Amino acid sequence: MGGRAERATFLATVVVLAGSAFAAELTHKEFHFKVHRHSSVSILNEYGPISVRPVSGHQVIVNAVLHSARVTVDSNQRGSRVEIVSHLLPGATAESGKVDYDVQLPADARVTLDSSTGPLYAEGLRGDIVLVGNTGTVEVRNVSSGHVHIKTLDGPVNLTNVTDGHVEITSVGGQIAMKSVSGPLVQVNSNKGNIAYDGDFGGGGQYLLVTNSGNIEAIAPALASIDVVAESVKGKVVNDFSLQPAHSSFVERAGSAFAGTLGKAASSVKLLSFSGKIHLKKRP
Amino acid sequence: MTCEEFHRVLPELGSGNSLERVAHLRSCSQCAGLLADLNEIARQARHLQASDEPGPQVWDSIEIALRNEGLIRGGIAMPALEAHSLEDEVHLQSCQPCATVRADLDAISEQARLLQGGETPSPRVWNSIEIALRNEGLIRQLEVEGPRIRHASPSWKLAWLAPLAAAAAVILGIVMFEYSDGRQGSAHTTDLASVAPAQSQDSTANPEEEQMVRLVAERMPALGAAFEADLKAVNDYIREAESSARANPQDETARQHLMSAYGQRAMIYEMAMDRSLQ
Repeated sequence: MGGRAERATFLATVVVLAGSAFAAELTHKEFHFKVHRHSSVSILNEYGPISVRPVSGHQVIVNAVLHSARVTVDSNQRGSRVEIVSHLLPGATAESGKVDYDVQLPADARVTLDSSTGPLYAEGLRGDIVLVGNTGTVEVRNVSSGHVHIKTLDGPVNLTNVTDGHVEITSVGGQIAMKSVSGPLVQVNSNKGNIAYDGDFGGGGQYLLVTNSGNIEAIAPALASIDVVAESVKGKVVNDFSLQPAHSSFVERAGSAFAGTLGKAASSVKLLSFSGKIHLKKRP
Repeated sequence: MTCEEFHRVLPELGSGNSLERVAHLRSCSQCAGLLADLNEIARQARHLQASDEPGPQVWDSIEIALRNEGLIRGGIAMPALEAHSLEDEVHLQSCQPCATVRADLDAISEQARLLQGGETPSPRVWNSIEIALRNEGLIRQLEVEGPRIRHASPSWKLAWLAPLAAAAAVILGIVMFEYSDGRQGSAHTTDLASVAPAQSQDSTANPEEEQMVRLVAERMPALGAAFEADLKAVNDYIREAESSARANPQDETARQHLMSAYGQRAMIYEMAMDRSLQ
């Protein structure tokens, strides 16, 4: 009887250890794809980070680190369209189902990244970028000419040196920070997240920053060329500039709404908040 | 045989009708009524003098009838059509094809009400209607059981009756629409002051949204609470934006907030769908 009990204990221990090993196993996979110009790459990874950067040549290189055997990576290529999907197996959790992606692709590729936990990172690209996340951080750096579309629930969004393209960000609770972001269209729609803009509002573009309860802080140079409207329905509005009056039907209300122009008013800037505070700051 | 099938073969009815058609007529009072109306039109038509074009008074009659229903200004009551409305209503409750036809007429009627009353259409308009109906084949020889319709000579057609019948059908649909018990009257308007707040008054009262939140929570438990909180925040935003827009319908900023709020909700719905399907 004692021998039988010991054997049972031993077997149970082996099973537990084997399961742990099964769950903790890290697997590295690499994929190579040959593509043509203006390729399209999409990566759907429910749990884990995705990082994208440019590489020379017409190729897509995907390095994936799987955190357990409860997730697999499915790849599919149709011409120059590449799709990578993290396939969760039964019993996968946010930890065991995690995959870390590091992707290198042509700078002109169209990129779509979707991750629930993120973070998502893209830099040095010239093609269109679509980033969808829930709670993870979304970061874009040194992107020009391409359109950047970002959707997130509560994840922070950081854009640095994004120029000459359309920027559209929709977020509910994520903090949004933009530094040196300019282009023909910059549109940010936030609910309770704050929006911080530090740039020149250049490019003769249209800038629309809207929040529900989040605050908006916009820092612009003294020589900015903008036609600005700022209004908070229930919050306060502060302006550090001496604006020229604008010929429009906009009704100014001291402390809650102002409008005017700076320089040649090349760019249109609208800062709107329902109950948040708006501050248009002059860069020292 | 269904009503839809019967309507399809209606122009081909003659002395040798199938048992199926006869059986349908005996069981369907609406189709029998329709056939009786057409028989009466045919009988009356034989007494009319031949002419190449219907007289102006015919088009005037159509115009008056359409004015009566508000498709153009003015109106004279058409009490004869009301006699069919209750019977039609009973039939519509049991007959899906006819209910579908009625729904289409409802939609036409509702959209037509948005049209502004204009000046009296020129005779060319009525001619255009006639030509269009001819091209659609609505103008054809009609053979019915019992009384026979004399085949029209090329110089005289029943064509002018077709627009009258078409107008009568439209008017019938409108009258049926007017007497509908289940009609939900809601004028389409772009005026933000009339935006209905019902759907966003209580951010947790929408059963579809509750189900969506539940699905997301089941699929991704770690995300459920945050998702629900975000959806509530967005719905609150929509409610406040609607209130502001209603108070200031001409305010562009209010409109922008409303669009932004709805854009956020659309994003949440889309993400919820994607997460649920993954």
